[in-house]
Amino acid sequence: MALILTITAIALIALGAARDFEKNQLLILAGLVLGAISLPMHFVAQSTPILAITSVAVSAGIGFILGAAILAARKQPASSFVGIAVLCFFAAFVFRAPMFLTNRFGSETEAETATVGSILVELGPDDSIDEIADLLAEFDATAERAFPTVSLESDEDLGQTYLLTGIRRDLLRRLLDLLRERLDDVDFAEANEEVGLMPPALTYEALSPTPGEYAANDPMIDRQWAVPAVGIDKAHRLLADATPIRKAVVAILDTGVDAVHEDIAGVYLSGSPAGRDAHGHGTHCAGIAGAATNNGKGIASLNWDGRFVNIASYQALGETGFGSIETISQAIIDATLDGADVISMSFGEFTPLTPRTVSQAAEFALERDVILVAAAGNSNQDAALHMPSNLPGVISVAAVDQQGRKATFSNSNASLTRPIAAPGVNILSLEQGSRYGLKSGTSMATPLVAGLLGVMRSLKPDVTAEEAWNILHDTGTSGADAARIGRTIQADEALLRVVSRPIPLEFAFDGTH
Amino acid sequence: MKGTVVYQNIEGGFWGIRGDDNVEYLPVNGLPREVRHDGMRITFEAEPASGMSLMMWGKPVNVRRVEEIRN
Repeated sequence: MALILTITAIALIALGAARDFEKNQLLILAGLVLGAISLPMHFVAQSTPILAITSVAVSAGIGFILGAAILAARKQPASSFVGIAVLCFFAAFVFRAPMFLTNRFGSETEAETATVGSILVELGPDDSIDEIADLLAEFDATAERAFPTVSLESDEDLGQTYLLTGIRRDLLRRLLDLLRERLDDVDFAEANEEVGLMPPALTYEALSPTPGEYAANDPMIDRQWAVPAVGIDKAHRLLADATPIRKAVVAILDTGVDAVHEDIAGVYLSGSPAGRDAHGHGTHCAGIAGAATNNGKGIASLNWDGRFVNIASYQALGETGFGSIETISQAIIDATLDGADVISMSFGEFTPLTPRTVSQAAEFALERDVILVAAAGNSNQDAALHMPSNLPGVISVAAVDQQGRKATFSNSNASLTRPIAAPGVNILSLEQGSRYGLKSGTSMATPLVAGLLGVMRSLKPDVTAEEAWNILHDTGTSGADAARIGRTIQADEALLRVVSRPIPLEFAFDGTH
Repeated sequence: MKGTVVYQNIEGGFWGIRGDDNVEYLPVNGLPREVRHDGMRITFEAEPASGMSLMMWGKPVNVRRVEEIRN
Protein backbone atom coordinates (compact mmCIF):
# COMPACT_ATOMS: atom_id res chain seq x y z
CA MET A 1 0.00 0.00 0.00
CA ALA A 2 2.79 2.44 0.94
CA LEU A 3 4.51 1.66 -2.35
CA ILE A 4 1.38 2.40 -4.39
CA LEU A 5 0.65 5.63 -2.51
CA THR A 6 4.20 6.92 -3.01
CA ILE A 7 4.17 6.12 -6.71
CA THR A 8 0.76 7.79 -7.09
CA ALA A 9 1.96 10.85 -5.18
CA ILE A 10 4.93 11.42 -7.46
CA ALA A 11 2.87 10.74 -10.56
CA LEU A 12 0.39 13.44 -9.41
CA ILE A 13 3.26 15.90 -8.87
CA ALA A 14 4.50 15.10 -12.39
CA LEU A 15 1.04 15.74 -13.81
CA GLY A 16 0.94 19.04 -11.98
CA ALA A 17 4.37 19.96 -13.26
CA ALA A 18 3.17 19.70 -16.84
CA ARG A 19 2.66 23.37 -17.69
CA ASP A 20 -0.35 22.88 -19.96
CA PHE A 21 -2.39 21.35 -17.24
CA GLU A 22 -4.91 23.78 -15.75
CA LYS A 23 -5.25 22.46 -12.22
CA ASN A 24 -1.55 22.00 -11.68
CA GLN A 25 -1.38 23.52 -8.20
CA LEU A 26 -4.17 21.29 -6.88
CA LEU A 27 -2.51 18.17 -8.29
CA ILE A 28 0.87 19.07 -6.84
CA LEU A 29 -0.78 19.68 -3.45
CA ALA A 30 -2.60 16.31 -3.63
CA GLY A 31 0.68 14.62 -4.53
CA LEU A 32 2.48 16.20 -1.60
CA VAL A 33 -0.29 15.19 0.83
CA LEU A 34 -0.27 11.59 -0.45
CA GLY A 35 3.51 11.52 -0.20
CA ALA A 36 3.38 12.76 3.37
CA ILE A 37 0.83 10.07 4.26
CA SER A 38 2.76 7.27 2.57
CA LEU A 39 6.13 8.09 4.14
CA PRO A 40 5.40 6.84 7.68
CA MET A 41 3.57 3.85 6.20
CA HIS A 42 6.87 2.54 4.84
CA PHE A 43 8.32 2.58 8.34
CA VAL A 44 5.29 0.75 9.75
CA ALA A 45 5.33 -1.88 7.00
CA GLN A 46 9.04 -2.66 7.17
CA SER A 47 10.73 -4.32 10.10
CA THR A 48 13.87 -2.11 10.12
CA PRO A 49 14.59 1.57 9.27
CA ILE A 50 17.02 0.47 6.56
CA LEU A 51 14.34 -1.57 4.84
CA ALA A 52 11.89 1.34 5.21
CA ILE A 53 14.31 3.80 3.59
CA THR A 54 14.95 1.26 0.84
CA SER A 55 11.22 0.90 0.34
CA VAL A 56 10.81 4.70 0.07
CA ALA A 57 13.68 4.93 -2.42
CA VAL A 58 12.34 2.15 -4.68
CA SER A 59 8.80 3.55 -4.59
CA ALA A 60 10.04 7.05 -5.35
CA GLY A 61 12.24 5.76 -8.18
CA ILE A 62 9.29 4.01 -9.81
CA GLY A 63 7.15 7.12 -9.26
CA PHE A 64 9.71 9.42 -10.90
CA ILE A 65 10.05 7.05 -13.89
CA LEU A 66 6.26 7.14 -14.25
CA GLY A 67 6.34 10.92 -13.85
CA ALA A 68 9.02 11.23 -16.53
CA ALA A 69 6.85 9.19 -18.87
CA ILE A 70 3.88 11.50 -18.20
CA LEU A 71 5.98 14.62 -18.85
CA ALA A 72 7.45 13.12 -22.02
CA ALA A 73 3.96 12.22 -23.24
CA ARG A 74 2.97 15.89 -22.80
CA LYS A 75 6.17 16.97 -24.57
CA GLN A 76 7.59 18.50 -21.39
CA PRO A 77 11.25 18.22 -20.31
CA ALA A 78 11.56 14.97 -18.32
CA SER A 79 15.32 14.70 -17.78
CA SER A 80 15.16 16.02 -14.18
CA PHE A 81 12.61 13.30 -13.22
CA VAL A 82 14.77 10.62 -14.88
CA GLY A 83 17.82 11.89 -13.01
CA ILE A 84 16.02 11.81 -9.66
CA ALA A 85 14.72 8.30 -10.41
CA VAL A 86 18.27 7.09 -11.09
CA LEU A 87 19.42 8.61 -7.80
CA CYS A 88 16.55 6.89 -5.95
CA PHE A 89 17.38 3.50 -7.42
CA PHE A 90 21.06 3.99 -6.63
CA ALA A 91 20.12 4.80 -3.02
CA ALA A 92 17.90 1.73 -2.86
CA PHE A 93 20.74 -0.40 -4.18
CA VAL A 94 23.04 0.92 -1.51
CA PHE A 95 20.39 0.26 1.16
CA ARG A 96 20.14 -3.46 0.55
CA ALA A 97 17.81 -3.37 -2.41
CA PRO A 98 18.31 -7.04 -3.23
CA MET A 99 17.00 -8.04 0.19
CA PHE A 100 14.05 -5.68 -0.12
CA LEU A 101 13.05 -6.96 -3.51
CA THR A 102 13.29 -10.56 -2.33
CA ASN A 103 11.00 -9.85 0.60
CA ARG A 104 8.59 -7.74 -1.37
CA PHE A 105 8.21 -9.68 -4.54
CA GLY A 106 9.15 -13.22 -3.47
CA SER A 107 6.71 -16.07 -3.74
CA GLU A 108 3.73 -16.19 -1.44
CA THR A 109 4.99 -19.42 0.05
CA GLU A 110 8.29 -17.85 0.96
CA ALA A 111 6.49 -14.90 2.49
CA GLU A 112 4.22 -17.14 4.53
CA THR A 113 7.16 -19.21 5.69
CA ALA A 114 8.96 -16.07 6.74
CA THR A 115 6.05 -14.81 8.85
CA VAL A 116 5.35 -17.89 10.95
CA GLY A 117 7.55 -19.74 13.34
CA SER A 118 7.50 -22.62 15.78
CA ILE A 119 8.41 -23.33 19.37
CA LEU A 120 9.52 -26.48 21.16
CA VAL A 121 8.03 -26.72 24.63
CA GLU A 122 8.72 -29.38 27.24
CA LEU A 123 5.96 -29.95 29.77
CA GLY A 124 6.40 -31.33 33.24
CA PRO A 125 6.10 -35.12 33.59
CA ASP A 126 2.58 -34.89 35.03
CA ASP A 127 1.34 -32.05 32.84
CA SER A 128 -0.91 -32.12 29.79
CA ILE A 129 -0.86 -29.97 26.66
CA ASP A 130 -4.44 -29.00 27.55
CA GLU A 131 -3.06 -26.96 30.45
CA ILE A 132 -1.61 -24.44 28.00
CA ALA A 133 -4.57 -24.60 25.59
CA ASP A 134 -5.52 -21.01 26.44
CA LEU A 135 -2.15 -19.75 25.23
CA LEU A 136 -2.31 -21.88 22.09
CA ALA A 137 -5.72 -20.45 21.30
CA GLU A 138 -4.61 -16.89 21.96
CA PHE A 139 -1.68 -17.22 19.54
CA ASP A 140 -3.45 -19.42 16.95
CA ALA A 141 -0.82 -22.09 17.54
CA THR A 142 -1.30 -25.79 17.02
CA ALA A 143 0.51 -28.44 19.01
CA GLU A 144 1.66 -31.94 18.28
CA ARG A 145 4.15 -34.19 20.01
CA ALA A 146 7.60 -33.39 18.67
CA PHE A 147 8.89 -36.94 19.06
CA PRO A 148 5.91 -39.26 18.90
CA THR A 149 8.13 -42.33 18.76
CA VAL A 150 9.48 -41.59 22.24
CA SER A 151 7.13 -42.63 25.01
CA LEU A 152 6.91 -40.89 28.35
CA GLU A 153 8.12 -44.10 29.99
CA SER A 154 11.27 -44.27 27.88
CA ASP A 155 12.16 -40.60 28.19
CA GLU A 156 10.12 -38.22 30.31
CA ASP A 157 11.72 -35.14 28.69
CA LEU A 158 11.42 -35.98 24.98
CA GLY A 159 8.13 -37.74 25.63
CA GLN A 160 6.68 -34.52 26.97
CA THR A 161 8.10 -32.25 24.26
CA TYR A 162 5.61 -30.61 21.90
CA LEU A 163 6.10 -28.68 18.68
CA LEU A 164 3.95 -25.54 18.55
CA THR A 165 3.49 -24.31 14.99
CA GLY A 166 1.72 -21.56 13.05
CA ILE A 167 2.88 -18.76 15.37
CA ARG A 168 3.30 -15.31 13.87
CA ARG A 169 6.99 -14.46 14.00
CA ASP A 170 6.37 -11.06 15.53
CA LEU A 171 4.52 -12.80 18.40
CA LEU A 172 7.01 -15.62 18.88
CA ARG A 173 9.04 -13.88 21.59
CA ARG A 174 5.89 -12.89 23.49
CA LEU A 175 4.57 -16.47 23.50
CA LEU A 176 7.98 -17.78 24.59
CA ASP A 177 7.96 -15.38 27.52
CA LEU A 178 4.42 -16.40 28.54
CA LEU A 179 5.30 -20.09 28.33
CA ARG A 180 8.36 -19.59 30.47
CA GLU A 181 6.19 -17.88 33.08
CA ARG A 182 4.05 -21.05 33.38
CA LEU A 183 6.43 -22.67 35.83
CA ASP A 184 3.74 -25.11 37.01
CA ASP A 185 3.22 -26.57 33.53
CA VAL A 186 6.28 -25.83 31.42
CA ASP A 187 9.78 -27.12 32.13
CA PHE A 188 11.42 -25.57 29.09
CA ALA A 189 10.58 -23.61 25.95
CA GLU A 190 12.70 -22.52 23.04
CA ALA A 191 12.22 -21.19 19.52
CA ASN A 192 12.47 -23.98 16.97
CA GLU A 193 15.14 -22.36 14.84
CA GLU A 194 16.11 -24.19 11.70
CA VAL A 195 19.69 -25.38 11.75
CA GLY A 196 21.53 -26.15 8.57
CA LEU A 197 23.95 -24.96 5.98
CA MET A 198 21.61 -24.60 3.02
CA PRO A 199 18.12 -25.75 2.09
CA PRO A 200 18.14 -29.12 0.34
CA ALA A 201 19.09 -28.47 -3.26
CA LEU A 202 17.53 -31.62 -4.69
CA THR A 203 13.75 -31.74 -4.86
CA TYR A 204 11.62 -34.44 -6.38
CA GLU A 205 10.84 -32.25 -9.39
CA ALA A 206 14.52 -32.28 -10.23
CA LEU A 207 14.39 -36.05 -10.61
CA SER A 208 11.91 -35.99 -13.48
CA PRO A 209 13.17 -37.63 -16.64
CA THR A 210 12.83 -35.42 -19.66
CA PRO A 211 9.61 -36.03 -21.61
CA GLY A 212 9.84 -39.15 -23.70
CA GLU A 213 12.32 -40.88 -21.40
CA TYR A 214 9.70 -42.71 -19.34
CA ALA A 215 9.27 -46.41 -19.89
CA ALA A 216 5.47 -46.14 -19.93
CA ASN A 217 3.56 -44.56 -22.81
CA ASP A 218 0.70 -43.11 -20.72
CA PRO A 219 0.33 -39.56 -22.05
CA MET A 220 -0.14 -37.81 -18.68
CA ILE A 221 2.86 -39.39 -16.97
CA ASP A 222 4.83 -36.13 -17.29
CA ARG A 223 2.38 -34.55 -14.82
CA GLN A 224 2.84 -37.28 -12.19
CA TRP A 225 5.67 -36.04 -9.98
CA ALA A 226 5.44 -39.16 -7.82
CA VAL A 227 6.54 -41.38 -10.73
CA PRO A 228 10.22 -40.42 -10.58
CA ALA A 229 10.08 -39.44 -6.89
CA VAL A 230 9.40 -42.89 -5.45
CA GLY A 231 10.94 -45.09 -8.12
CA ILE A 232 7.80 -45.89 -10.11
CA ASP A 233 9.54 -45.32 -13.43
CA LYS A 234 12.37 -47.66 -12.41
CA ALA A 235 9.76 -50.16 -11.24
CA HIS A 236 8.14 -50.03 -14.68
CA ARG A 237 11.40 -51.14 -16.28
CA LEU A 238 11.57 -54.01 -13.81
CA LEU A 239 7.94 -55.04 -14.26
CA ALA A 240 8.12 -54.92 -18.05
CA ASP A 241 10.25 -58.08 -17.92
CA ALA A 242 8.53 -59.70 -14.94
CA THR A 243 5.73 -62.24 -14.88
CA PRO A 244 3.32 -62.26 -11.94
CA ILE A 245 2.73 -65.60 -10.24
CA ARG A 246 -0.92 -64.62 -10.07
CA LYS A 247 -2.88 -61.41 -10.42
CA ALA A 248 -3.54 -59.79 -7.06
CA VAL A 249 -6.71 -57.97 -5.99
CA VAL A 250 -6.62 -54.53 -4.42
CA ALA A 251 -9.95 -53.61 -2.84
CA ILE A 252 -10.81 -49.92 -2.71
CA LEU A 253 -13.17 -49.29 0.22
CA ASP A 254 -14.54 -45.87 -0.56
CA THR A 255 -17.36 -44.03 -2.37
CA GLY A 256 -17.37 -46.60 -5.18
CA VAL A 257 -15.37 -46.61 -8.41
CA ASP A 258 -16.39 -45.52 -11.90
CA ALA A 259 -15.83 -48.99 -13.35
CA VAL A 260 -16.16 -47.86 -16.97
CA HIS A 261 -13.47 -45.18 -16.79
CA GLU A 262 -11.18 -45.66 -19.79
CA ASP A 263 -8.09 -46.11 -17.62
CA ILE A 264 -9.55 -48.58 -15.09
CA ALA A 265 -12.16 -50.59 -17.03
CA GLY A 266 -9.60 -53.13 -18.25
CA VAL A 267 -8.47 -54.03 -14.74
CA TYR A 268 -11.72 -53.62 -12.84
CA LEU A 269 -12.82 -56.92 -11.27
CA SER A 270 -16.03 -58.02 -12.89
CA GLY A 271 -18.87 -58.39 -10.40
CA SER A 272 -17.28 -56.12 -7.84
CA PRO A 273 -20.15 -54.58 -5.85
CA ALA A 274 -19.54 -50.81 -6.09
CA GLY A 275 -18.95 -50.03 -9.75
CA ARG A 276 -20.41 -46.54 -9.65
CA ASP A 277 -19.11 -43.47 -7.88
CA ALA A 278 -21.37 -40.49 -7.17
CA HIS A 279 -18.59 -38.62 -5.33
CA GLY A 280 -15.38 -39.22 -7.26
CA HIS A 281 -13.05 -39.90 -4.34
CA GLY A 282 -13.06 -43.67 -4.80
CA THR A 283 -12.36 -43.40 -8.52
CA HIS A 284 -9.38 -41.16 -7.83
CA CYS A 285 -8.02 -43.65 -5.30
CA ALA A 286 -8.57 -46.57 -7.65
CA GLY A 287 -6.56 -44.93 -10.42
CA ILE A 288 -3.63 -44.34 -8.09
CA ALA A 289 -3.73 -47.95 -6.94
CA GLY A 290 -3.98 -49.65 -10.29
CA ALA A 291 -4.85 -47.65 -13.40
CA ALA A 292 -3.94 -49.64 -16.47
CA THR A 293 -0.40 -48.60 -17.33
CA ASN A 294 1.48 -48.51 -20.63
CA ASN A 295 -1.90 -48.58 -22.38
CA GLY A 296 -1.48 -45.26 -24.16
CA LYS A 297 -4.22 -43.66 -22.07
CA GLY A 298 -4.31 -41.30 -19.11
CA ILE A 299 -2.02 -41.88 -16.16
CA ALA A 300 0.46 -44.49 -14.98
CA SER A 301 0.29 -46.58 -11.82
CA LEU A 302 2.42 -49.59 -10.90
CA ASN A 303 0.05 -51.90 -12.77
CA TRP A 304 2.25 -52.42 -15.84
CA ASP A 305 0.22 -53.58 -18.86
CA GLY A 306 -2.60 -54.19 -16.35
CA ARG A 307 -1.02 -57.60 -15.71
CA PHE A 308 -0.36 -57.42 -11.96
CA VAL A 309 -3.43 -56.09 -10.17
CA ASN A 310 -7.19 -56.12 -10.46
CA ILE A 311 -9.20 -53.41 -8.76
CA ALA A 312 -12.29 -54.26 -6.72
CA SER A 313 -14.49 -51.69 -4.98
CA TYR A 314 -16.77 -51.75 -1.94
CA GLN A 315 -19.20 -49.09 -0.77
CA ALA A 316 -17.76 -48.08 2.62
CA LEU A 317 -18.73 -44.41 2.22
CA GLY A 318 -21.82 -42.66 0.90
CA GLU A 319 -21.89 -39.97 -1.74
CA THR A 320 -21.27 -37.27 0.88
CA GLY A 321 -18.04 -38.99 1.90
CA PHE A 322 -19.16 -40.35 5.27
CA GLY A 323 -19.50 -43.94 6.38
CA SER A 324 -20.94 -45.70 9.38
CA ILE A 325 -19.34 -48.37 11.52
CA GLU A 326 -21.65 -50.86 9.88
CA THR A 327 -20.93 -49.95 6.23
CA ILE A 328 -17.20 -49.88 6.85
CA SER A 329 -17.09 -53.14 8.80
CA GLN A 330 -19.27 -54.82 6.19
CA ALA A 331 -17.01 -53.61 3.38
CA ILE A 332 -13.91 -55.02 5.14
CA ILE A 333 -15.61 -58.37 5.68
CA ASP A 334 -16.98 -58.55 2.11
CA ALA A 335 -13.63 -57.71 0.53
CA THR A 336 -11.94 -60.33 2.68
CA LEU A 337 -14.45 -63.03 1.81
CA ASP A 338 -14.11 -62.12 -1.90
CA GLY A 339 -10.39 -62.85 -1.71
CA ALA A 340 -8.82 -59.40 -1.65
CA ASP A 341 -5.05 -59.36 -1.17
CA VAL A 342 -4.91 -55.72 -0.09
CA ILE A 343 -7.62 -53.46 1.35
CA SER A 344 -7.12 -49.73 0.85
CA MET A 345 -8.99 -47.46 3.28
CA SER A 346 -8.79 -43.73 2.58
CA PHE A 347 -11.01 -42.62 5.45
CA GLY A 348 -10.95 -42.33 9.22
CA GLU A 349 -11.92 -40.55 12.37
CA PHE A 350 -10.29 -39.44 15.60
CA THR A 351 -11.80 -41.42 18.43
CA PRO A 352 -10.53 -42.31 21.89
CA LEU A 353 -12.51 -45.57 21.81
CA THR A 354 -12.10 -47.81 18.78
CA PRO A 355 -15.47 -49.21 17.68
CA ARG A 356 -15.39 -52.89 18.57
CA THR A 357 -17.05 -53.92 15.31
CA VAL A 358 -14.49 -52.22 13.06
CA SER A 359 -11.69 -53.64 15.16
CA GLN A 360 -13.14 -57.13 14.87
CA ALA A 361 -13.63 -56.75 11.12
CA ALA A 362 -9.98 -55.74 10.76
CA GLU A 363 -8.90 -58.75 12.83
CA PHE A 364 -11.08 -60.94 10.61
CA ALA A 365 -9.20 -59.68 7.55
CA LEU A 366 -5.72 -59.89 9.09
CA GLU A 367 -6.31 -63.46 10.22
CA ARG A 368 -6.95 -64.31 6.55
CA ASP A 369 -3.66 -62.75 5.39
CA VAL A 370 -5.24 -59.64 3.93
CA ILE A 371 -2.94 -56.61 4.01
CA LEU A 372 -4.78 -53.60 5.48
CA VAL A 373 -3.67 -50.10 4.51
CA ALA A 374 -5.27 -46.94 5.94
CA ALA A 375 -4.77 -43.19 5.65
CA ALA A 376 -3.18 -41.45 8.65
CA GLY A 377 -5.60 -38.50 8.37
CA ASN A 378 -5.44 -34.82 7.48
CA SER A 379 -5.52 -32.87 10.75
CA ASN A 380 -1.78 -32.26 11.20
CA GLN A 381 -1.89 -34.12 14.51
CA ASP A 382 -0.52 -37.29 15.98
CA ALA A 383 -2.53 -40.16 14.46
CA ALA A 384 -2.38 -42.25 17.65
CA LEU A 385 -6.16 -41.96 18.04
CA HIS A 386 -6.99 -41.92 14.32
CA MET A 387 -8.98 -45.01 13.44
CA PRO A 388 -8.68 -47.34 11.47
CA SER A 389 -5.04 -46.39 10.76
CA ASN A 390 -4.20 -46.97 14.45
CA LEU A 391 -5.51 -50.53 14.56
CA PRO A 392 -2.92 -53.21 15.26
CA GLY A 393 -1.49 -54.67 12.08
CA VAL A 394 -2.74 -51.89 9.82
CA ILE A 395 -0.18 -50.06 7.66
CA SER A 396 -0.71 -46.35 8.30
CA VAL A 397 0.12 -43.97 5.45
CA ALA A 398 1.14 -40.32 5.85
CA ALA A 399 1.54 -37.93 2.93
CA VAL A 400 4.66 -36.17 1.63
CA ASP A 401 4.86 -33.24 -0.77
CA GLN A 402 7.05 -32.58 -3.81
CA GLN A 403 9.95 -31.62 -1.58
CA GLY A 404 9.75 -34.93 0.26
CA ARG A 405 8.56 -33.18 3.43
CA LYS A 406 5.50 -34.09 5.48
CA ALA A 407 2.48 -32.55 3.78
CA THR A 408 1.27 -29.67 5.96
CA PHE A 409 -2.10 -31.34 6.51
CA SER A 410 -0.85 -34.88 7.10
CA ASN A 411 -1.10 -36.46 10.51
CA SER A 412 2.08 -37.86 12.03
CA ASN A 413 1.96 -41.64 12.19
CA ALA A 414 5.31 -42.54 13.75
CA SER A 415 3.60 -43.43 17.03
CA LEU A 416 1.76 -46.28 15.28
CA THR A 417 3.11 -49.77 14.72
CA ARG A 418 3.39 -49.73 10.92
CA PRO A 419 4.00 -46.19 9.67
CA ILE A 420 4.99 -45.38 6.10
CA ALA A 421 4.79 -42.31 3.87
CA ALA A 422 3.99 -41.74 0.19
CA PRO A 423 3.28 -38.81 -2.15
CA GLY A 424 -0.07 -37.16 -1.32
CA VAL A 425 0.02 -33.60 -2.67
CA ASN A 426 -1.18 -32.63 -6.17
CA ILE A 427 -1.66 -36.21 -7.25
CA LEU A 428 -3.07 -36.74 -10.74
CA SER A 429 -5.59 -39.53 -11.10
CA LEU A 430 -8.99 -40.47 -12.47
CA GLU A 431 -12.29 -38.59 -12.24
CA GLN A 432 -15.69 -39.92 -13.22
CA GLY A 433 -16.52 -39.88 -16.92
CA SER A 434 -13.03 -40.77 -18.16
CA ARG A 435 -11.68 -37.45 -16.95
CA TYR A 436 -8.56 -36.72 -14.89
CA GLY A 437 -7.78 -34.33 -12.04
CA LEU A 438 -5.51 -33.44 -9.15
CA LYS A 439 -6.27 -34.12 -5.50
CA SER A 440 -4.30 -33.87 -2.27
CA GLY A 441 -4.67 -35.79 0.97
CA THR A 442 -3.47 -38.83 2.85
CA SER A 443 -6.26 -40.52 0.89
CA MET A 444 -4.06 -40.20 -2.20
CA ALA A 445 -0.94 -41.54 -0.50
CA THR A 446 -2.77 -44.63 0.75
CA PRO A 447 -3.75 -46.31 -2.56
CA LEU A 448 -0.24 -45.77 -3.92
CA VAL A 449 1.04 -47.93 -1.07
CA ALA A 450 -1.85 -50.36 -1.53
CA GLY A 451 -1.09 -50.65 -5.25
CA LEU A 452 2.58 -51.33 -4.54
CA LEU A 453 1.61 -54.02 -2.02
CA GLY A 454 -0.73 -55.54 -4.59
CA VAL A 455 2.08 -55.83 -7.14
CA MET A 456 4.30 -57.33 -4.44
CA ARG A 457 1.61 -59.92 -3.69
CA SER A 458 1.30 -60.74 -7.39
CA LEU A 459 5.01 -61.48 -7.56
CA LYS A 460 5.18 -63.25 -4.20
CA PRO A 461 1.69 -64.38 -3.14
CA ASP A 462 2.82 -65.71 0.22
CA VAL A 463 4.30 -62.45 1.44
CA THR A 464 2.62 -61.68 4.79
CA ALA A 465 1.37 -58.31 5.96
CA GLU A 466 4.25 -58.04 8.42
CA GLU A 467 6.86 -59.04 5.84
CA ALA A 468 5.38 -56.60 3.34
CA TRP A 469 5.57 -53.70 5.76
CA ASN A 470 9.12 -54.65 6.74
CA ILE A 471 10.08 -54.52 3.05
CA LEU A 472 8.46 -51.10 2.59
CA HIS A 473 10.25 -49.84 5.69
CA ASP A 474 13.64 -51.37 4.91
CA THR A 475 13.68 -50.12 1.32
CA GLY A 476 12.07 -46.73 2.03
CA THR A 477 14.00 -43.48 2.10
CA SER A 478 14.44 -41.47 5.28
CA GLY A 479 13.30 -37.97 4.45
CA ALA A 480 13.66 -34.94 6.68
CA ASP A 481 10.43 -35.80 8.52
CA ALA A 482 10.90 -39.57 8.78
CA ALA A 483 10.93 -39.37 12.58
CA ARG A 484 7.33 -38.14 12.40
CA ILE A 485 5.88 -40.01 9.41
CA GLY A 486 8.08 -43.02 8.79
CA ARG A 487 10.07 -43.72 5.67
CA THR A 488 8.86 -42.88 2.19
CA ILE A 489 8.25 -45.83 -0.12
CA GLN A 490 10.65 -46.62 -2.96
CA ALA A 491 8.69 -48.81 -5.34
CA ASP A 492 11.57 -50.25 -7.36
CA GLU A 493 13.62 -51.17 -4.29
CA ALA A 494 10.61 -52.83 -2.65
CA LEU A 495 9.81 -54.87 -5.75
CA LEU A 496 13.39 -56.04 -6.07
CA ARG A 497 12.88 -57.82 -2.74
CA VAL A 498 10.04 -59.96 -4.08
CA VAL A 499 10.64 -60.36 -7.80
CA SER A 500 11.82 -63.83 -8.88
CA ARG A 501 14.94 -63.63 -10.98
CA PRO A 502 17.25 -66.28 -12.43
CA ILE A 503 20.33 -66.82 -10.28
CA PRO A 504 23.39 -65.48 -12.11
CA LEU A 505 25.74 -68.27 -13.21
CA GLU A 506 28.65 -67.07 -11.15
CA PHE A 507 26.60 -67.60 -7.97
CA ALA A 508 25.18 -70.99 -8.96
CA PHE A 509 27.99 -73.48 -8.26
CA ASP A 510 28.44 -74.68 -4.72
CA GLY A 511 27.42 -71.90 -2.44
CA THR A 512 31.00 -70.95 -1.55
CA HIS A 513 30.46 -67.36 -2.70
CA MET B 1 -20.58 -20.79 19.54
CA LYS B 2 -18.51 -18.52 17.32
CA GLY B 3 -16.08 -19.53 14.65
CA THR B 4 -14.66 -18.95 11.19
CA VAL B 5 -15.62 -20.74 7.99
CA VAL B 6 -12.60 -22.36 6.34
CA TYR B 7 -12.20 -24.01 2.97
CA GLN B 8 -9.92 -27.02 3.02
CA ASN B 9 -8.29 -27.71 -0.32
CA ILE B 10 -7.70 -31.38 0.41
CA GLU B 11 -9.57 -34.52 -0.58
CA GLY B 12 -11.15 -32.61 -3.45
CA GLY B 13 -12.09 -29.64 -1.24
CA PHE B 14 -14.67 -29.16 1.52
CA TRP B 15 -15.97 -26.56 3.99
CA GLY B 16 -15.29 -26.64 7.72
CA ILE B 17 -15.45 -24.42 10.78
CA ARG B 18 -12.54 -23.38 12.96
CA GLY B 19 -14.19 -22.65 16.30
CA ASP B 20 -13.05 -19.86 18.57
CA ASP B 21 -12.40 -22.65 21.07
CA ASN B 22 -9.54 -23.70 18.72
CA VAL B 23 -11.38 -26.87 17.70
CA GLU B 24 -11.97 -27.70 14.03
CA TYR B 25 -15.50 -28.85 13.19
CA LEU B 26 -16.54 -30.87 10.15
CA PRO B 27 -20.25 -30.37 9.35
CA VAL B 28 -21.56 -33.79 8.30
CA ASN B 29 -24.69 -32.12 6.91
CA GLY B 30 -22.69 -29.47 5.05
CA LEU B 31 -22.86 -25.70 5.32
CA PRO B 32 -25.52 -23.52 3.65
CA ARG B 33 -24.34 -21.87 0.44
CA GLU B 34 -24.75 -18.38 1.99
CA VAL B 35 -21.97 -18.95 4.50
CA ARG B 36 -19.56 -20.78 2.23
CA HIS B 37 -16.99 -18.00 2.24
CA ASP B 38 -13.47 -18.68 3.44
CA GLY B 39 -12.81 -16.50 6.47
CA MET B 40 -16.45 -15.59 7.16
CA ARG B 41 -17.13 -15.11 10.87
CA ILE B 42 -20.18 -17.02 12.06
CA THR B 43 -22.18 -18.08 15.08
CA PHE B 44 -23.39 -21.65 14.99
CA GLU B 45 -25.11 -24.35 16.97
CA ALA B 46 -24.06 -27.93 16.43
CA GLU B 47 -24.40 -31.36 17.92
CA PRO B 48 -21.68 -34.00 17.99
CA ALA B 49 -21.93 -36.54 15.19
CA SER B 50 -20.11 -39.78 14.58
CA GLY B 51 -18.87 -41.54 11.52
CA MET B 52 -15.71 -41.92 9.56
CA SER B 53 -15.12 -39.72 6.55
CA LEU B 54 -12.82 -39.30 3.61
CA MET B 55 -12.07 -35.74 4.79
CA MET B 56 -10.33 -37.06 7.93
CA TRP B 57 -10.34 -33.53 9.30
CA GLY B 58 -12.03 -31.93 12.27
CA LYS B 59 -14.62 -33.12 14.72
CA PRO B 60 -17.80 -34.33 12.95
CA VAL B 61 -20.88 -32.29 13.92
CA ASN B 62 -24.44 -31.80 12.79
CA VAL B 63 -24.88 -28.06 12.31
CA ARG B 64 -28.35 -27.02 13.52
CA ARG B 65 -28.10 -23.26 13.01
CA VAL B 66 -25.53 -21.01 11.42
CA GLU B 67 -25.50 -17.25 10.92
CA GLU B 68 -23.00 -14.71 9.67
CA ILE B 69 -21.65 -12.26 12.22
CA ARG B 70 -22.09 -8.80 10.75
CA ASN B 71 -20.03 -5.93 12.12
